[in-house]
Amino acid sequence: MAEAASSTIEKNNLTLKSSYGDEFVLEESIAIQSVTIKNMVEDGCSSSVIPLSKVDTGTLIKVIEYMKMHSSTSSNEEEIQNFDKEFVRISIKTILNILEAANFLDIRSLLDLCAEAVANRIKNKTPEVVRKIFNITSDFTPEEEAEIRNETPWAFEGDLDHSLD
Amino acid sequence: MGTHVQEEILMDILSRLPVRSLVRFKCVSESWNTLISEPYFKKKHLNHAKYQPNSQKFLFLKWSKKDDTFHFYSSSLSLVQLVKDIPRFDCPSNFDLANGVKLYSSCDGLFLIGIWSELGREQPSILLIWNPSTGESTILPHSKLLKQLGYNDDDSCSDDDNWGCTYGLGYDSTSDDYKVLRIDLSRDDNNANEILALKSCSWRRIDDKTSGKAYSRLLFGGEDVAVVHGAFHWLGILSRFCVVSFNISYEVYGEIPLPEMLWSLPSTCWLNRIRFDAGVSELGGMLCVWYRYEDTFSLWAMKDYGIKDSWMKFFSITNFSGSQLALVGESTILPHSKLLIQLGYNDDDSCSDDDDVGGHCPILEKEEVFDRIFIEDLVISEAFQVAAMIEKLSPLCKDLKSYLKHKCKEMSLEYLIVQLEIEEDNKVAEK
Repeated sequence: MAEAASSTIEKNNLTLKSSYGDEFVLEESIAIQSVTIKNMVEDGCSSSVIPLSKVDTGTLIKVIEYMKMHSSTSSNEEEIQNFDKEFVRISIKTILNILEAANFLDIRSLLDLCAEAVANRIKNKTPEVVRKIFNITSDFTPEEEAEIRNETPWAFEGDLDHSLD
Repeated sequence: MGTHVQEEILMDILSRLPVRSLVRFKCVSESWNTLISEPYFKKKHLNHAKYQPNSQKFLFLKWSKKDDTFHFYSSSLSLVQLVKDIPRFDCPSNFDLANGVKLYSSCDGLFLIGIWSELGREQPSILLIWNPSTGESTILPHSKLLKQLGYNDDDSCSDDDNWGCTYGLGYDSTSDDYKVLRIDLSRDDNNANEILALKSCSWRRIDDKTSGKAYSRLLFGGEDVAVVHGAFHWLGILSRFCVVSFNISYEVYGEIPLPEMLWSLPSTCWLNRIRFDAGVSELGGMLCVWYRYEDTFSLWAMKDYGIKDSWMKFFSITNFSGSQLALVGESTILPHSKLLIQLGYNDDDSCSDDDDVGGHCPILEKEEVFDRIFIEDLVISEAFQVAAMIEKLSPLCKDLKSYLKHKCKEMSLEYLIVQLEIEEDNKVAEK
């Protein structure tokens, strides 16, 4: 009986552990915006610490910040919109990290927000810069690349963005 | 430094990009090139773009006096930008548009276009499907049937009974293919409609028996073909004035009744020699019928598809600058509950009645009634057409020839943009 009682109390809080070993205590009602965590709770696997081996501390802090804001009943739609706008005002690499975490944790709205933000930031960039952002080495020969470019010269016209962020 | 993004996430990001960026990013790496070219990705991109107001644009044709030819233009659907910012589009495969061009139909950002290489022909010499976002195009083959019926003879267009044909483009989800329907408008008993599936790219005569063909004729200048509920629609006369439908997947005909008050309009107009024009359109997934009777232009929408009682009158415009309103073409969704309607009108009565000016205009969706009218005085000297378009990727690269003919219409058109706003109490519940 005593055990059952304590688990009902604890049920309100969950502990998330980042890949660096940092632990964060979060209300269950907030954490279950993550479908992955929600499934764990429903399967009864969340009684102890939930290890998130793929999410580093900095990213986890951002994800928790997001979940807290989006579950808050006191904030109105406009506040949430402004929060979202500010939330993605960070480096593209950081957004990509959050995207990975949101994908693993299965938080659809965060995925949408970050994917949209990355798309917006890269849409006017040059292929060279995009390679750097996504850490890609081109496997095309210069001739092959020139051939692809020549098929659609209009896509390379105008003012392209050469900045990394 | 490994930001190695999983393919799933990468696809999510890329599916949100404009076509121009995607085409540019094909040279990032082989795997990006493969991903962007995959049919699955293209579909995902289209599904995303369909619901994004930013990826929806206008495409329209305008006659340029300066270089004596038509040009395609596109503009965003933002009301502010609409008229001012209209970048010019390259015409597909650098065809010469000076002798005539027509936008027949559009679907998912693909356009069915007829191009005339000679003036005065009934049918276009080239019929092609064009994706303006990527610049790709596919020339459709000639219809053998059309040749047999003698449409290619130089002077058959002088025949009063020969109304030529019109075309519709739609997507068949069953076969995951685009289909082009050729509707024969002639009064010849041997006339036959044909269909072309893009994957096979050859014309096939629609079997009258299996399709349940009810012999119908198209009306007036009513060459509009609307695709709603997986079927092509056009105006015709079966037992009475009605909408004729043709299911894209099953290839069967159907009949959709019009509001009763419209049944007798065509005959009344004929008898009294009143100018009457009508056509079908699509508005937010609803089948619409517009007509112009005397100086009134009206639009009706069928709220529940196939249910006759659900026809409702969207709006009427009367005494529109004392001019005759022309047609309504494509439609798409405009944000902020605004209905945008572009009307071509002919203020020069020299145009003969039969040769009904093909000033195709679009209705841009949303709810209804309007209280403000914008008039832009962009004057053009030929028919122009507009259609809504979604940015879309599609691989189209076959090359075939065709030649048909067309009667070129001389006219002077003015071009109006009407901004329609909703009146609260007239609001019709949106589906």
